[in-house]
Amino acid sequence: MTDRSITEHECIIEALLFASDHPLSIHTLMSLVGNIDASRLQAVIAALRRRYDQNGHSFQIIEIAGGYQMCTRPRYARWVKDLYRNRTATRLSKPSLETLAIIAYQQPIIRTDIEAIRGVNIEGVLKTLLQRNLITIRGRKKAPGRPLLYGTTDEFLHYFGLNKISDLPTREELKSLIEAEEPAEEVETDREHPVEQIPGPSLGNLAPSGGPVHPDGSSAGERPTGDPARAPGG
Amino acid sequence: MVPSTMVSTYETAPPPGYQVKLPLFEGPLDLLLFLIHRDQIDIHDIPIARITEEYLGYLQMMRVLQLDVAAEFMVMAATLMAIKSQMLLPLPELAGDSAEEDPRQELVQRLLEYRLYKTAAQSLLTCEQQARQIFTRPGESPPDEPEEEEDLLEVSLFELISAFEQLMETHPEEAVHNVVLEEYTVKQRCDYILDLLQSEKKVSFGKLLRSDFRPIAMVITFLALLELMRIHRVVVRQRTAFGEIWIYQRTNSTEKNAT
Repeated sequence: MTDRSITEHECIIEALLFASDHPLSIHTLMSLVGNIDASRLQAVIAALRRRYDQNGHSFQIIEIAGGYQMCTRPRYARWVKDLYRNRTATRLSKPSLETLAIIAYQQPIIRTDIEAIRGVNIEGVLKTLLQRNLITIRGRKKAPGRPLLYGTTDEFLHYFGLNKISDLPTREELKSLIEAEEPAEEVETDREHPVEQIPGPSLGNLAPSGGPVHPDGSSAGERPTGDPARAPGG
Repeated sequence: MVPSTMVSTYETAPPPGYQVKLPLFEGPLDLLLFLIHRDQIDIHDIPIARITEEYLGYLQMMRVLQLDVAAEFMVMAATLMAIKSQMLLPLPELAGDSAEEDPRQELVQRLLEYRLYKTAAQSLLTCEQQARQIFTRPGESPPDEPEEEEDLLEVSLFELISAFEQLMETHPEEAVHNVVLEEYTVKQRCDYILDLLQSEKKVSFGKLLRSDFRPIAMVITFLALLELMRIHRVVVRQRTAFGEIWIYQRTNSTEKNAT
């Protein structure tokens, strides 16, 4: 396959993805390339991915925040991290993650509903999340006081390496996760596969991810639990 | 990842001695879940008396350690005690429908709900960790100075002075008689301008000088503005030549010049 000639389309799309600093959606790519349909475009991207894989390139094309983007492979994080030392954002705190989780699954949601679930005041946390552009105001609820409704942003997807919000594990998956760790002897099993415990997104996934799974749990258990593409780099 | 970190932080019971390391709880529900998990209690059948005791014990410990016990923790303590007392009361006989509600039910629902999102947060953490291993091309350099999008022109001192002259000429000559008291100092006007910029972000030159039309006030305000420019506390910009002149605060150098 390596001697297969590289098409002009591959070059154009590669150039676009290489030069872009944000994910490019199928539609953007289609209008930029011109004279190409969606399925052909996806085939070209698949071909590019194959090529990067086979030739052992240090970069890949991922699906993130509703588009395609070129990025480095996790294996080289050690070095690139140093390059971007002062660019990497600080990690989110536990309260921030919990609040984001509630917003992600319940959006749009008002502050008092989040506080009811977490059992604590979250005013400061919301402010931080808004400042970091991980959440946004989605309008006002038609209720007394017309409270603000919050939802997640594209930046949220980007930050967590998700393509779409439904890439998050469903409620059912979360429940089965909890049940799995319910017995007392969980410690042993957890140590063996630390990361695989949590269905994460398919980062660095080379094939398009499975059908849409909604966080509301309408279609549970579709996520392949042993997905090798999800295995962490190190 | 999730359970192991949870166990490692949670199972370190506060050791005796001065070096106390209490697990930090995000809130009362977090603390309750910890107690339930630690004692391997069935979340659907919580021994309320025992858990209340342990919960209060924990609050007591937090207070002894002079940790801030947030109001939410006290609310939960009250809730627990209310449930406990409810369970002690004999069931009313005229309960009619057999659907006698377990007083714990609402709490259990909240705990289950909270636990679900706690797990979701752990999954987000995993996502975060993975996403931090990959790097994309950096975007446009971060906007360190979120100055207006429009192109602003540098205002020269001469333009500023001619704008000042213009204002002095055009201001309505009021018949003011005895103005003697020198109530303005340059220092005062500097503070006044800086105060304005605190609340307004940008102030128009005309508006600033028009705040007081008496010539002495205008002159002193103008001098104050020049002084602030000199010590780099403000910058002046205009959108078009001969356009309105705007005064902005210079945030970056504020500390530098605060001597």
